[in-house]
Amino acid sequence: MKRGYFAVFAVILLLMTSACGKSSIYNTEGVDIDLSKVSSVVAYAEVYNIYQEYESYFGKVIRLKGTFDVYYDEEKDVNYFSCVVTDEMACCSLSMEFVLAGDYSYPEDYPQNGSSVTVTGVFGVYEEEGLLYCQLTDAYLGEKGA
Amino acid sequence: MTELIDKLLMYLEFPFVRHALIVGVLVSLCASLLGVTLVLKRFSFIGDGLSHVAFGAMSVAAVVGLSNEMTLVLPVTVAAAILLLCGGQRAKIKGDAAVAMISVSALAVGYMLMSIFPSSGNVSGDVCTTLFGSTLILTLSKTEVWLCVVLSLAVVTAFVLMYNKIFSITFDEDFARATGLGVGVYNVILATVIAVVIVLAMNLVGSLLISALVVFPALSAMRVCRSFKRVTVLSAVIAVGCSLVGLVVSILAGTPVGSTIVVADIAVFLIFTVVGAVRRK
Repeated sequence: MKRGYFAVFAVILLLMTSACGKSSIYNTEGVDIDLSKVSSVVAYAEVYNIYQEYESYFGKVIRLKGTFDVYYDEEKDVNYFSCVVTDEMACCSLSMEFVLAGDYSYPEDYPQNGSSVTVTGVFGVYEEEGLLYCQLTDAYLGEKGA
Repeated sequence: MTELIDKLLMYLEFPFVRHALIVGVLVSLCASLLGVTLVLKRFSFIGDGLSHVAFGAMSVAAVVGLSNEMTLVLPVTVAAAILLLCGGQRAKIKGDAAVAMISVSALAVGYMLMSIFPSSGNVSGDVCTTLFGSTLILTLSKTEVWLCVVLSLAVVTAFVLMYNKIFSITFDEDFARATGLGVGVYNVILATVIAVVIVLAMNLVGSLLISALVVFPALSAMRVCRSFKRVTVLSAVIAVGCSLVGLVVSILAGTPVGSTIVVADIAVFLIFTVVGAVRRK
């Protein structure tokens, strides 16, 4: 019986060792948390966690894959750009606002509204009219940057 | 194979994935233990009814603005469970009629309250998540995870300590009463434990799919085992296995968590039905 347990443990250890270090969500290619590699269920859950425990994510470089969305605030005459992450049924969605590094103008330098985008940026929060908003600053579109 | 394990290990880096696996295993274990008793007592559908009551209570908690919904959801669900399981033959509306009535009433009132007093900007998303448990288990807070662990351990301990009493009242209440067993007290305890399990299981599969978590492992085990003890043990093994497989597949393939676990339960039930039929020949 003990031999059986040992064999199972050895196989698990072997598989874990062989797989270890090949792929990671954390700290790869200058990105602290890469959510472009994971399934929609997990990406949605992690963005949810970021919103719940935003203090733990300050200053981290986060990469997201989702749908590009733009909201125009008429009063302030400002465009807000965001990457929308949905769960598998798309009944729940969370959007992460981003601000591109450098000077870009809308709509020339941005993707079409509703198209799929990958955004990488530094996580932070800002306060506006008494409310806290999460955003990725110094951001770039695509995998390797603009 | 190595690539798949590599991918799984990558997902396990997320704390919420590890929490989901722990909670998933514990909740499905609890649901399967009580599932055997509920199926044998012909209360298979009580899980569905109670989960709808929990949904209604959750809506009220959200409307009132309670920070911890459990403080309202748990007592209301326990009260409904006691009413349904311990109402007995004296009740004017009993059995499946009582379950159906409470179930649909709570569901309708809950949905109406959520629509009139939305607690967030996405009512359909909230309802979808609560009913089908799409990503609920992956978004649990640390407090909720600990609560699930403590309540699950309490349920397993209660089941193990009262195993003989549960066995007696499951098969013949009159005989158990004749031997001096406090059937009423144990029925109340059983109803309380069932309500706790239902509230916990809502996090895993959502309120519409809870019945599957309660009945499928028990029914699968009954296809191949005959004794109460063997059915209970095999049911627990099936429930934990299906829950783990469902969660892993869901995380890797991006499918809805609740329905993936239930599909795994259905597949095992079909396999065990075939195995049972072959063995009887």
